[in-house]
Amino acid sequence: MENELIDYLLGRLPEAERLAFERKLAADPPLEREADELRKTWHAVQDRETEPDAAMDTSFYALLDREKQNQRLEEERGREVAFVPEPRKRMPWFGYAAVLAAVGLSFWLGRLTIRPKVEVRTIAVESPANQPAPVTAPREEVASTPSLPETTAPATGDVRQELASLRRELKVTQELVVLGLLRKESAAERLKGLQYASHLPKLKPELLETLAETLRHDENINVRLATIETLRKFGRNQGVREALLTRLQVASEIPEQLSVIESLVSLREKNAIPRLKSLVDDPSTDPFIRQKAQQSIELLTI
Amino acid sequence: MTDEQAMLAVKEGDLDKAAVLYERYKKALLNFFLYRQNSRETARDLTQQVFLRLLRYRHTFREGASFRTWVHEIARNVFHDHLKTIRVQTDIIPDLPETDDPADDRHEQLHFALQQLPEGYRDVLVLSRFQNMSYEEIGELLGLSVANVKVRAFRGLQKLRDLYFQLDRP
Repeated sequence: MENELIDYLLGRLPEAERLAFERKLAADPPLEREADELRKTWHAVQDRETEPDAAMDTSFYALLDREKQNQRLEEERGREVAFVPEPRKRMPWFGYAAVLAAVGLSFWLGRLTIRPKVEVRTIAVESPANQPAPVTAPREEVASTPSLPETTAPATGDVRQELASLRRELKVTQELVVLGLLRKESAAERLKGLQYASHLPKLKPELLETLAETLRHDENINVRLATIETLRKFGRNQGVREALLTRLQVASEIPEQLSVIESLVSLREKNAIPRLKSLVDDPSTDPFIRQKAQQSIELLTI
Repeated sequence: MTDEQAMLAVKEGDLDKAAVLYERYKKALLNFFLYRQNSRETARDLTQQVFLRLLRYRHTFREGASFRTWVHEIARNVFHDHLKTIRVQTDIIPDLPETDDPADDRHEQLHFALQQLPEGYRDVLVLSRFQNMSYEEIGELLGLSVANVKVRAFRGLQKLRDLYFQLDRP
């Protein structure tokens, strides 16, 4: 009877069985009373049903956009890895480095092809053995004799200097590429610039300023989110922490607030606590962010 | 498109299909959480967390699995994690907000009665009501036989009735 009654109450009896059971109930007043009370309770449960609101939809679609953006970035990285298997060659500025290296190599080879002329002339002076040195030896020949060992040493030094110079130029080129991309109209280009920036070994002040400006003014939330991710990689830099703290004061979109909070917590930035507290106390703060801020305060105060 | 097809598409990288699943399940999940605690805001956040986990752990969805069962497993985990956080934050159960609306009062009574129900009973009733899950699906999710699911549903409803009407008495 219990089985039948619960099937009946939960609406899981086929029509014919339901009618038969209702006849049974009509013939058994105590059972009918029991069924009636349980039905009222079940209806009360059903009546409490709540509809989702627009804010919930907004949060979900922002979340979905962010995940799609992450997916796109992952795919781009994946393509680079598949195309150039060696990790070093994943560096996006490899092309620039190759061009610069080729220029440097041509220059160096060019110099090597000139030098033998000097050596031949020097050897020609030395070759006649046991002969007295001419009284009026040409100035350049006299000068070139002691310079023989020196001609090899400066050559190595030059190459080193040129390589160092190339490296410096390469770094400058990397930074210029990133800065150039960050100023592009297209959000996709700016995102690419941010991706490149995240590979840089150091964050120069000019680039930090540009990233901070992107975080402050870029109208595209995905670019701002990627900027936060890039800045987070240079979290030891005090300027980065300050940029994130400043952004925490003004960020209003949930995904961005969430990302800044997570970054500051991962960097153990305790200066974020006052702002996190004000987010917790502010009644207009989104509940999810409020909860996140509360948890972050606890994590930072451990 | 079935839920499972949509989820497999998400797993394969078509994240837009997550929106299809969201539209189908948002109400059910919101109410699922509302029956476990009193705050609508928290229920909304927990629902968001379910979809966040759905996206982040999409690769764990197996072909042939029931999406409804899988997503509710996530929802149950989200709620258990939420309880852990609450316990860390405070051991005090928040007071229910006061209201002048008799309908709200009845809702609060029902909510209070639901909170008093043992979890095993409440789960069966909530899954049955809001997810419209079959006895078999509930059994699979909770690790129970169909007979056991029915027994819990019946006893849960009886106990809820006792608590609800007991609170209704002056």
